[in-house]
Amino acid sequence: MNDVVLSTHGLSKRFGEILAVDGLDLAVHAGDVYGFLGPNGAGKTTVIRMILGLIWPTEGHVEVLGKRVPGQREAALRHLGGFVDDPVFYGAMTARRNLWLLGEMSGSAEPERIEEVLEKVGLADRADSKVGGFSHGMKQRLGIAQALLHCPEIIVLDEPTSGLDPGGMRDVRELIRDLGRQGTTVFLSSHLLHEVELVCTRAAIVNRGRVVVEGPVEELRPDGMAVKVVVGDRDRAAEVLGLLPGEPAVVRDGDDLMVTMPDEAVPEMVRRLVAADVDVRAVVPAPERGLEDVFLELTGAQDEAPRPTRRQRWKLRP
Amino acid sequence: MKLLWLEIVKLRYQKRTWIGLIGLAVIPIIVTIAIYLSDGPGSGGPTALPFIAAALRNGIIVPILSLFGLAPFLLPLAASMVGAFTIAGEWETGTLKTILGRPVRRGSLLAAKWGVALLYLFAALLLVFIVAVLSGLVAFGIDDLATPFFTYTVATALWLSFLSYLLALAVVASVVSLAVLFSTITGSSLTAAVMALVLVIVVQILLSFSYFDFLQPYVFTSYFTMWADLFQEPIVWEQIVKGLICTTAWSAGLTGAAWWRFRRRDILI
Repeated sequence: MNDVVLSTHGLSKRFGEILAVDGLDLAVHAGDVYGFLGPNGAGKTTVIRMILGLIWPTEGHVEVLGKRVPGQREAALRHLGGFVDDPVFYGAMTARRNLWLLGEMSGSAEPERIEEVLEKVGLADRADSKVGGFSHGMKQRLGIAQALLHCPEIIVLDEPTSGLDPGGMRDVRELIRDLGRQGTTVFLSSHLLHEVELVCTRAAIVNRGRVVVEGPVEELRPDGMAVKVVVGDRDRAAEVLGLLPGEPAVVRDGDDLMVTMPDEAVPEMVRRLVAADVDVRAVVPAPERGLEDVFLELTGAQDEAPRPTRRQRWKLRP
Repeated sequence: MKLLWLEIVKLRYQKRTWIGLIGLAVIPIIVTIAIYLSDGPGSGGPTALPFIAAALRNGIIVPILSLFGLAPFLLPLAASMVGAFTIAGEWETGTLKTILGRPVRRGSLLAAKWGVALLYLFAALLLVFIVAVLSGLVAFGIDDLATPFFTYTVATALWLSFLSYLLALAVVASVVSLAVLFSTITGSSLTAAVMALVLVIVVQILLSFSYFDFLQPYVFTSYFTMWADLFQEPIVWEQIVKGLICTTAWSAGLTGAAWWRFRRRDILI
């Protein structure tokens, strides 16, 4: 097992009468792409603020490579990059200037490194435009660029694909997967299950400031996936499927067959059907039976945090 | 030190930086024109000072008259605004969370911002001084400053004027510290600026009543014109020394309070 690089210990945060984060214990290991999943208002952003040392925990602490936040915040932030909410920059400065400024705050900012991260997030051709004119998606990318700037071991991203168009989402997810492959630990929050399934290796589902379930993404999902198989000869097909290793559950659904099996067994099933001379017209994923079910089951119908009263809202104001 | 430099870089990108400098630099020009158009000493204000009344056609007095014009209102206004923008300005735009995501100490950031605010106001006063000397030179020419009792050489007069600007900066530092404190309390730079300015003005008004005379030595606003004592012969140092001690104490106390407040403030933007 790899070492724990980012962890929270009994982390709690109270805003007035609202307990936004409630005794959170998380452990992120080196090389994880860790999904921090929860409905809006579950306390995800509050946790990330505490990891970055922007707000003080009411109780507990965060540990980044053995450095405590908030106690040793500066030392911890040398190993960690990220952003919370929407990343904000100096609008009157160019993207390059912004990165230079932020890089200098982390020690030094070599022009080559700035070029490199701009290239990585696909902003190289807008490097000398003022950030004030950037679209939301571009600022989001610049946010990732600044997180990567000082080559930190851990990247913390708060809903990195929020507000991006489908192309932008795909690029950012690809980038995150790349980072994971290169050994960077990524901690990302999201309220999109699909996203976590796509990019993460491990995930924790939180609701009302508590972890409801935690583990490798494959284990969080119910066993196997369901596919709908449309074939020429149903009886023959059912016979063939019955002989498959693992004995997948086969249910007749009108003219089609519903088969529940592990993802990786699907190609083998198709091969066998074809080998047995069964016409395979279509194999389609059945209506989502994945993390979503788990998510809804665990977080329940009331996925909104209790709304603060007027008085509490006043207290919450900056 | 590096943070200080980075803050200066940021300052360059803000329009208000340049507007402020231009606005203050216009003051000595207006003062020059006003003297040029007036035909004699007035009954009140700075022209009532004996040496100034005697030298209304000498450019050497423009720096001092400009400072006199700035002291009660424009200087506290400028100091309040510059101080107020330090933290609240970045809170408003949201960039505060961006820079605090970097391994910089909050205390260092506050110190750098305080330092740059003061540096900026020093630069502004220096600009006012230079413009004042130049416009005085152009309008009237510069000559020895003759008063009914004694005469200053041009060099002495310029030196004393410059020293006056530096003494004004000591009071400005206190106002900046006050505004920085408010800047760490509220999330709005406008609120912080108004709070600081209103407080300074209210205290000035209170102190104009003799009932509050006992407070006079302990409040930094009393020392906006302490430099006037430089133009006595011999110079009376007592008020100036008191003023420097008082303003330094206030600056330190207020900045310390700002640090205490900012150190553990939750950044919720």
